[in-house]
Amino acid sequence: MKELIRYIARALVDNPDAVEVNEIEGEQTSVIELKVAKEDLGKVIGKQGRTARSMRTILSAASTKLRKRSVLEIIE
Amino acid sequence: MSESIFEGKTVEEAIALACQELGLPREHLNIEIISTGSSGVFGLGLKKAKVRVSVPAPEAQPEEPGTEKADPKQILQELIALLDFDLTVESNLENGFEVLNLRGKDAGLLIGKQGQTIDALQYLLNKMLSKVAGEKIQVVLDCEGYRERRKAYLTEMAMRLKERAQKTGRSFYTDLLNSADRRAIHLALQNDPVVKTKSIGDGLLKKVAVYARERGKANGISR
Repeated sequence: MKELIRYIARALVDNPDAVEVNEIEGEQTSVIELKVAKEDLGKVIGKQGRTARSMRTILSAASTKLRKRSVLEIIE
Repeated sequence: MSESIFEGKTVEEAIALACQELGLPREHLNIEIISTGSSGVFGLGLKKAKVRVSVPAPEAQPEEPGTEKADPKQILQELIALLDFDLTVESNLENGFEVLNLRGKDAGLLIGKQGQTIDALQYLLNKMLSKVAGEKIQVVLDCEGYRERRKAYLTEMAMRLKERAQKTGRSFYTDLLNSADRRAIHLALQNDPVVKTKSIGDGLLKKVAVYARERGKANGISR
């Protein structure tokens, strides 16, 4: 899950080396925290939050297969 | 130009890791093999393969900085692998657009509710490709005929709304649809002599109104 978000985020930003992804695993739900350079925040959120929403959508599809729930949080 | 060293059990593995980490296909990387590694005997003398990888700076490209091209199929395959979906990718050219066709066991999961997931993946893939290319790239994802099925469903919906608008003279609306779906409705009725269509609302999702061109005709009175 973490690698998926890292891969996508790195491909979207200007500063891929600043991309940090942490996964906090819970029993059923895991939280994935995405951190990017300040200037890149807009790139991972997108117009009207579309990019963030798309990442969340495919994250939940991947989690469904694992019978889990994952939440993506973008950390400022 | 930034350089990093990647290790793996084999040279192939090290390169694959480099591609994943850097988010670039291997054609875009300068790869220098430092050591090929050896598996050793029972773990003795085990040596990892090492490659030095550098990413050529975009401005180092002699002409037309936007011509660098990432391979959509390859990136999609990597995404599918990371999603752990059981799907294969096939690339076709349809009407000048690159269409990536997926098929396999996880087709339903990939499409998602009302195509939500396939649309999200298509949007992200295009963003990622556009970023590498420096210009807008538009590829289409399809999965076991989903796009065609969706179009048929929307066309049928358009016809149903038309019939009702024609009978009653009132406007009828679709559900909230994305731009591609709205387009299908507009196209289905674009040259219709009886009804017109119009998108209503703002944001990504809008409704399409289907309404009679003229009151008289709407009630079935011909010229």
